[in-house]
Amino acid sequence: MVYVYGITDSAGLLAGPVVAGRDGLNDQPLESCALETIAAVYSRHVTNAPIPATPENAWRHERVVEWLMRERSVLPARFGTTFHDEAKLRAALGPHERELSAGLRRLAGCVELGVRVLWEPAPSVASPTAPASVSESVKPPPESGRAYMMARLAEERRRRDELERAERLVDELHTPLAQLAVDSTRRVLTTPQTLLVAAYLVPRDRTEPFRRRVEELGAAHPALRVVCTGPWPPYHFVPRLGEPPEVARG
Amino acid sequence: MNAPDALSARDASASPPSVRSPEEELTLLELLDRVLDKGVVLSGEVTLSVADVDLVYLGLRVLLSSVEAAERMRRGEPAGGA
Repeated sequence: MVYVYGITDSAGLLAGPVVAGRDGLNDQPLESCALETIAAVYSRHVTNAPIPATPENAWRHERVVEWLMRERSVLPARFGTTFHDEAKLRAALGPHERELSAGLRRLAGCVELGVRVLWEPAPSVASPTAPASVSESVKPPPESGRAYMMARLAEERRRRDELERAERLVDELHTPLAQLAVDSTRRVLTTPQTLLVAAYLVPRDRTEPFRRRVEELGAAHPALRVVCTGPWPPYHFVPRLGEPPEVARG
Repeated sequence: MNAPDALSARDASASPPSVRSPEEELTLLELLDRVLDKGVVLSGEVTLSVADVDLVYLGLRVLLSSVEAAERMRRGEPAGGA
């Protein structure tokens, strides 16, 4: 099978065995397969067994894409994209050449920066399902139903307040960063501790001002843990094949 | 140009999970969110085992929560919040 790392522009990339020696997964050499305007970079594997999604393999995939990104615009492929052989890969690329080519042009000169913000969610009020705190005050049976409802109301109120607080904080953090970016995506409260997970498409020569802004925002919110990672290949901003262009969110 | 965060974490990727620093944990999480969930999907046979993905994230979540617990303790707050 062939395992695909990414799509790049074909200009200057020779067909056949190419690039950086045995740098692919399982130490396989990298090769490329060029259409008229785009080329896929892949490695060939004797087995059809799936490549396991381990941290090491994920980093290897990433390293190949980053290597490509140094010199050219690249659309990273999702981990685990394989084809039976090069002919099948070529057949899959063909119908999307125009979309992929447009995606490469759109992302030219840009990198992706990640921002993840952890926070301390407000502690939940005595959980309605936990009997311990209620039994402490020796409630007679008729009142325990009322206590349960009160606890649920309090919990509901706490959740609403927390959501408002989260939205306010996300606005304070995300809006100024999105202004420095060509495009951005964001997800809020993906876990109770994860306030914000965002990705920003930033021109390569503007990553330092962006990082400084992240640091400033982190300093202005000492109770939050604000982490900036990257530069990454533009994973969040690749075209979705067969769909109309994605509308930027946030 | 200073080295991206991704590079320092990559060096540590060969080490057992228990010695990854909190920063490396977060960088790995950021990597997995991208590599496994984003990027171009060509209409090929995506040979990605769901069990693998669950496993790799499960390991991280455990570590991530312990990281957060450690942070809380450093700030002198009670650990019972979450």
